[in-house]
Amino acid sequence: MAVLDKVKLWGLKKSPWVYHVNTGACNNCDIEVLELLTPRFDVERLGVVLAASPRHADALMVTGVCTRQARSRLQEIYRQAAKPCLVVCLGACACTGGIFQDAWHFAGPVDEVIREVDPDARIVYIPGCPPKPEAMIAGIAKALHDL
Amino acid sequence: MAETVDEVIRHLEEVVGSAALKWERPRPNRVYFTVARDNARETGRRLVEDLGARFATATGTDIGEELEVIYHFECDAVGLVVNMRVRTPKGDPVMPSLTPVVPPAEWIEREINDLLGVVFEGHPDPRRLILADDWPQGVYPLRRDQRNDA
Amino acid sequence: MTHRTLIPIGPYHPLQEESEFFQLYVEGETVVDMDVRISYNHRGIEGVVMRRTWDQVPYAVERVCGICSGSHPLAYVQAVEEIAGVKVPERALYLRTIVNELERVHSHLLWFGLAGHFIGYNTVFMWAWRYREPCLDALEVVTGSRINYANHTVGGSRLDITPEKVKYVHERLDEIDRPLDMFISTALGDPVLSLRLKGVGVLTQKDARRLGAVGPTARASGVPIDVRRDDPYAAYDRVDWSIVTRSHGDVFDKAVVRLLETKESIKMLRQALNELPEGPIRADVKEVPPGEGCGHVEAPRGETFHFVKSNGGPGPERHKIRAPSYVNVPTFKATCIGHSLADVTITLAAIDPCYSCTERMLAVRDADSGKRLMGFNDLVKLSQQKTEQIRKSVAAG
Repeated sequence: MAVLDKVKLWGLKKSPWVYHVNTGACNNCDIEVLELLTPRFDVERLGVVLAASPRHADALMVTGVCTRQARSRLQEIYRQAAKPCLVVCLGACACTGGIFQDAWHFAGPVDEVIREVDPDARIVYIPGCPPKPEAMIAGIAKALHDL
Repeated sequence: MAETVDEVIRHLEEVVGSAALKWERPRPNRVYFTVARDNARETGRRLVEDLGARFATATGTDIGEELEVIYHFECDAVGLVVNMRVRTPKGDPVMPSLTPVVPPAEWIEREINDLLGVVFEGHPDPRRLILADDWPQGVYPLRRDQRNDA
Repeated sequence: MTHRTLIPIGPYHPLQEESEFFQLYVEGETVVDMDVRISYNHRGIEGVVMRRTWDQVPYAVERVCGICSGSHPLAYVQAVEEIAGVKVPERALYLRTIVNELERVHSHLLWFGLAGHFIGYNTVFMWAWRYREPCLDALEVVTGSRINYANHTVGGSRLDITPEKVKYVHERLDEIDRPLDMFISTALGDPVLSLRLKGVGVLTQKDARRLGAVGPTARASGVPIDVRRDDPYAAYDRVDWSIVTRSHGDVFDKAVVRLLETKESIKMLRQALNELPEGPIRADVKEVPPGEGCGHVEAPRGETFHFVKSNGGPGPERHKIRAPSYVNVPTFKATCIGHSLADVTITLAAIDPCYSCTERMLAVRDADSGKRLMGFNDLVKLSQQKTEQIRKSVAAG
C-alpha cells in the first residue's frame, strides 16, 4: 500500500469523520446516532466526529431502507465521499430493508445500491431495530479494527 | 353550556341536510354518512364553517368497481368523529376537491391522487406529493388490480 | 462548544440541482415562498400492513416514526378494538398510559435539546438529552426496549409490570424532576431566550384552526384540543391532569407548552404507577368482524389518527395512518412566509416535525433566479448568529 494510503487509513482509524445519511428511515436509528454524541455514550472520546459534508467523510452512516426517491441521491453522496470510505449500514432497514422489503417505495437494499456505483465498496452491517448505542459503538470499533 | 354528543349530532344533521345519506352510528361518537360527489365540497364546507369541525385526514380505498374517499372530521369538544364517504367510479375517478374550502385537505388529496388515482377537480396544486419523481404515471399502488411496485 | 462539535442535524447537501424537502425562496433576507417535497421518507407502509395479520401490524406501525412508536400502535389497536367491540382490561389501560406518557417525556426533552441547538444553546442539547436517558431506561425496563416498545396489542398490553419495575420508574422520574424544573425556569426566565423566541414564528389561533393544526403547535396558539381529554382513551379519564395552552402561538409559547406538558406527564405517570389496578392485561380477541374503526391518540406532536377497515379477514383490508406532522408541517405557510431567514429553522423545529424530516435538507433559493444559495447547516448557523447578536445586546444593555 502506498504511503499516502497508509496515512489516510491511519487517519480514518484514529478519528473517523462520519457523515449521516438518512435514506428513508423511521428516526429511531437516526436518534440513536445522535445519542452517541451525548454525555452517556460520548463517542467523541473515540475520535468519532460527525462530518458536515460527505467530502470530509471517512464513513457514511446510512440509515433507512433507501426509498426510490433517495436512491440516486445516496449514490451521488457515495461518489462525493472522500475515499477510502466505509459504508456503515445501520439498522435492519439499511442492512436488508427489514419489514419494508415488500413496500412499494423500497429501492434498496443499501449495499446493492452502493455496489452499483462501486463493486469494491467496503460495507459494514450493524443490525438491530434500532441497534442500541452500545451496539453501534461496538460495530464501528470492530469495523475500524478490521480495516 | 357544553353540548352533549347527541346534541352535536343533531346539529350535524341540520347542517348537512338531505345531502347526507346512509347514516351509520356504530358507536356513540362515531358517525358515517355518504354524499354524492357533486355535494362533497359544499358538505365539507358546512362541516368546517357551520359545524366548526376540524378536518383530520382522508382515507382512499379501492372498493372494487369504485374508489371511495372517506373524509374524517372531528368535533373535538365531544370527541365525535364524523366520516363523510364520497364514491366515484373507477372508470371516471373524478371528484371535487375539498381543498378550496377545507385547506388542510390539500396534502392528503394529492396523496390519494398519487396512490389511488382519484382526480380532485379544482385542487389548487395537484402536483405529485409522495411518490418518487421517477415513479411511472398511471401506476397506483393502492389499487387492487395493480402490482404494488413499478 | 467548539465549531467541531457542530451537531450536524442536517447534511450539507452536495447536489446543486437538488429538489430538497423544504425549499425556501428568498428575496434578500425574507422568505417569500416555500415548497415541500416529502417523497424521501415515503416507504409505503400502508401497503406493508395490508399484507400482515392483525397482531403483526403493531410491530410495523411503530416504525412509522420512531419517536412516536407508542402512539401509532395504540391508535391502531384502538381502531381494531372499536371494530371488534373489545373491552380492554383496566390494568392494560393504565399500562398504556404509562408507556405513552414516558414516550411524551422523552420526546419533549428530545425536542427541547434540538431546539436549543438550532438557536445556539448547545449545552441545552447535551443536558436535555442526558436527562432523556433515565426516561429511556424506564421504558427499557417496562417494555424491553428503549424505543420500539412493541407493548400495545389488540386487546391490551403485551408485557406486565412488576412492583420492582414500578419502583424503578419512580426513581427514574425522580432523576428527571429537578432538571426539568431547571429547564422550565431557564426557559421562562432567560432574557436572551425571550428576545430570541417571543414573537417568532407566530401561528395565530385563526390560522391554527383554519389549517387543522394539532398538538402543542395548536395549543400554543390557544386552540384547546387534546385527544386525551376530548375523546379519552387508556386511563386518561382516570388520572388527574390539566391540558396546557398558551395564547401567542410563537416559538416561545410552543416551548413552554411542551415543557409544562412534560410536568403534567410526570404527574400522570406517578398516579398511574401508584393506582395500577390488579387483573389481566389482555382481553382475548378471537377474530375481527367486518367493520370500520377510528383510533386516535395524542402523540407528543399532536393527534395521530388511524382508520382501519376489516372485511373479517386475517388482517386489515385498509389501514390509513395519519401522523400529526402531516397537518402541522403545512402551517409553515402561515409562519415562515414573509419572515426572516434566520428564524426559519427554529420556526420549523417548533412544530416538532419528525426529526428525519427536518434533517432532510432545507435549501434556500433566490426567488428570481432559482439559484441555490445555502443549505441547512448555513441556516442553522444564521439562526445561531442571531441569538449571539441578541445575547451581546442584552449583555451590553
